[in-house]
Amino acid sequence: MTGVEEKGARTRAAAGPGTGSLVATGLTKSFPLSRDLLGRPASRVRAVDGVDLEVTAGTTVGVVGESGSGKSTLGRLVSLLERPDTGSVVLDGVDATHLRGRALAALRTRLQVVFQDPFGSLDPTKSVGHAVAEPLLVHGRIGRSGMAAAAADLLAGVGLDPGLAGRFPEQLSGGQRQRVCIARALALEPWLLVADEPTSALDLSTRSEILNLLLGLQRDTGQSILLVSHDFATVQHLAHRVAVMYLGRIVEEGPTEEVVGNPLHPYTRALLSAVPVPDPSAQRARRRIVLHGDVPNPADPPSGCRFRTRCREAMPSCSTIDPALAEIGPAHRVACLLHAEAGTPVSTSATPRSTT
Amino acid sequence: MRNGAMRNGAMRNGAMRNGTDPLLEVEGLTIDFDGAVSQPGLVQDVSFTVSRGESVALIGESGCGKTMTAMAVLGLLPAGFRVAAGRIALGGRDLLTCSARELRAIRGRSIGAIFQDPMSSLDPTMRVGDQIAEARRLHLKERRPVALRRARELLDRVGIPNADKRLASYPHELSGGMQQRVMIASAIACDPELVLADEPTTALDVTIQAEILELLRDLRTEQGIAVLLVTHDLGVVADFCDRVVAMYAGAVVERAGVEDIFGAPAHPYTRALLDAIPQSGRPRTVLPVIPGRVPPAGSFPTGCRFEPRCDHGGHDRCRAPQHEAAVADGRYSRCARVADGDLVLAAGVGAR
Amino acid sequence: MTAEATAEPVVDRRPAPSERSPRRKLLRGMIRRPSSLVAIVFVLVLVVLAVLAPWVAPQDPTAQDLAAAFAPYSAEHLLGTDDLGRDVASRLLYAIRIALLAPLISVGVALVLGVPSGLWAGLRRGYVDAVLSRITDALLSLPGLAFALAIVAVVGPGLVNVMVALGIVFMPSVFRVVRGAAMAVAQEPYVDSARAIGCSTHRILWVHILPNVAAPLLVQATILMGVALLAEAGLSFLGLGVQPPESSWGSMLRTAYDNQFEAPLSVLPPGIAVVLTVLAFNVIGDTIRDVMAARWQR
Repeated sequence: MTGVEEKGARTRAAAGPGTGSLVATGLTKSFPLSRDLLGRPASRVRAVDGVDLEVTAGTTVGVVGESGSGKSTLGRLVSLLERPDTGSVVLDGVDATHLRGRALAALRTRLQVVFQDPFGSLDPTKSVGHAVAEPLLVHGRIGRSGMAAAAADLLAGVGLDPGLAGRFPEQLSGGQRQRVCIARALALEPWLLVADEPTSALDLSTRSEILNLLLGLQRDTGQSILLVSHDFATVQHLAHRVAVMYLGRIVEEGPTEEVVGNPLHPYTRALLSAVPVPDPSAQRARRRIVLHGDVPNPADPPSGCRFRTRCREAMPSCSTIDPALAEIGPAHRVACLLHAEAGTPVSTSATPRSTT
Repeated sequence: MRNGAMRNGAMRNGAMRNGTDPLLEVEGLTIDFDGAVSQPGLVQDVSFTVSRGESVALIGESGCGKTMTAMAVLGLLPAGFRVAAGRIALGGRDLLTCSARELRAIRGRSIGAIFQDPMSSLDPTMRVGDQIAEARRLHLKERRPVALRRARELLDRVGIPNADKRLASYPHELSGGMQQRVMIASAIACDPELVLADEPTTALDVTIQAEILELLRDLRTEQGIAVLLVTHDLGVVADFCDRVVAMYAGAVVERAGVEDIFGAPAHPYTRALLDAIPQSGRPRTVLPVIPGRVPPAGSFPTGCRFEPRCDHGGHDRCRAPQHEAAVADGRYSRCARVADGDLVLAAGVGAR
Repeated sequence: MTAEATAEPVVDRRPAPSERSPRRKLLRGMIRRPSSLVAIVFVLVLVVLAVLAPWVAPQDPTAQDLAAAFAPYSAEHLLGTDDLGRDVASRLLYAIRIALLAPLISVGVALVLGVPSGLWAGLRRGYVDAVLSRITDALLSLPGLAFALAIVAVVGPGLVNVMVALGIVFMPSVFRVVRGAAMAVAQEPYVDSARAIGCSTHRILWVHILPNVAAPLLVQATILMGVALLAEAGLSFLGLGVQPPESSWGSMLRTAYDNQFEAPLSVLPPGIAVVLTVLAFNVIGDTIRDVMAARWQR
């Protein structure tokens, strides 16, 4: 990938799914919780609070976290569906943060989204064929007359019978719908596919079909994927790199095998140990780290390290020092005082991270 | 993994450990739907038992009839659905011949229920304390102060801090995990013998799920409460349950101890379900899939219900209605290959 | 059911059932219910009669024959004659045109004003919504018929004036229905999905949101049709709507009312016509709501 791709639509032949880059720096996003009499936000919750993220060509990056971790907001920021308060999303070298209108639409062709809920993310009044070919129509790559042929190709590409084109979403099963959503996202041959919980609404046997489909895409076309999920098993299966989020921050990040095999942050350890292994004897022999207490209110996060209220290894200094992500091993970074001495703090962005 | 079968003899299943005193017996349960289009056999010939203190999992994908079966046990089938045949007995008492009034006395008293979504299962306008106390006032005729005192103890019991303060809270003031704890507290308020939990942790985060399972485990060991757990999460089953009842398209396809079923599944459907789970040791590998999908209710095949999707299908013997056949002591599979004796299980399980 | 199904693991080869577009399903659901089928047929017959009135009507509706005034029902005058000896059956037939045209004008005006503003307010919220909502609230606080009368007082009587005035009065109810429904639809993931593929706001509004608010909108529109017909009849009864010699059911009622002692039965034809037509509109509206509700429940 060289140069700047501003006219995504025109130059798509040059930029296939295999090349591209995404660099997000210092992202923060807050939402108003309550408003005063004049309608100005009185209190805000920081859903994402200073997150850097990078996706390189041909890889899958997984973002794991529980509810309230901000992973879905991060996914929406990266998908250009939400604008960050501070920080930037640079896609193919173009800063998308302040783009509008036509330029934004053009850049969107480089990045497409698969949503969590395959039941809600298809317009019930549009046929399957319309749903999958619509992106091409919107970007003027085909005319209305070309939709049927394009739809048939796209459906076949995700292993669906092209004959389904005339049906409506409510006639399809969950797995079929999710395939339709993937076909729709792939229509523009985006470089990056952002998948927000793509399998969590699906049944067990259907889940493996979708995981296989995503794996096959990456193998065949070098598709890059940003996978947002609460399910460690799914992320572990698909992702080359994984970022673990807690209360709006990335607490640990690194190659999947590293993070899973040698988790360093106490939260990552607790999260991994809470995922039950589908093997009774192994599962019952495991040492479980059961966390106590609830996730703190994101509007009023604890001082210092945000995990300290539930952490079993919390030290007095944890309440005063907010640990930054520090490089511990090769490309393995963790934000925890236990490991602060071992590593060197990584400067997260050119501009200093905003205050907590 | 999956070598649990080796411990087969020593630890057959929970029923052994807890004594084989059957608490809940379901025999030949068949549920029909009588509506504009009547659909017989939505649940067909389902049999299983839950012994005292035991934890039994009812597993299967959505549309397989596991919730329907659980609702039948509670006597809460939705309008139009009808138990057409079979027997459901709790402690020897036939629930199907009970009057509505008698059933009400059993629900909440002898059987406690926990559902998937605590937020919609709790009354949003009622304080947590009164909600828990309600069952005791209703079933044990306790007066409100007495029942509330007990509710306080129960909140302590399920690990809710500041129980005194929480008694006066409304459900929406609690987090999801806390709400589920309140649900559990009200389910066990009258010291039931059986708790029926329908996907109790599906809506929760994994760290919260681990806490809730820990709590349910404690209740079992300390109070001897039996648990019938409806779930699709095989990890939870491996963690928590003694025995497994696997359902597919309204029929039980396999019943076995948890070690046996994970070690050497004796039905192609259970095997396929287990194979479909991503394995931590083999990232980015293609997972086996089950071709096709669960047929919609009402159009189940007349023969083996799994046959159209089965690797071993296509034989004449699969076209006839299947019956449960014993694979080994206390293990059953509804597969023609078992009935014909040509299913060989790994590690010698079920060698007959 | 066959081994072939397992040979093709990925592709679902279930025979495609008849394509059920939401529109087709709504139509089918409506035709299946006897009450709405009757209502639909009734309205269709009205439309046909309105178009064919010059050919179907036995006589010229404005031809006077004072000698034959107040004639009873007969073969020559199926429904008798009025005070000027005009054939009531013919006047009733011609009045169908007014009965259909008048509600179409006012509901049309209400839709043209209310739908775009409602969609816009529902998607954008914020200031757009606040401003538009206050305007419609102000309109809503005016008594409808009195407002229409005031407009008529300014621009003069006449069917079109009255109906346009009524359309403005109806606009807030259309706006509210569309705004509320659009607000709910705007939260649906498929609207996000449309944004993600790069749809313009224009396309999102008209291609993705409008069809999904069509059901409540249709219900509201049919009910307004009934209200508009009643209002037209009322205003014509007062002499503010249709001007003589043209006939409307309202003006015919007026004539019948003025001559109730000479011809007591003459209130029946226009009266029954109004009642049945309003009823038909309402039945259609209710059925759309029921059919859509049944679909939403699944």
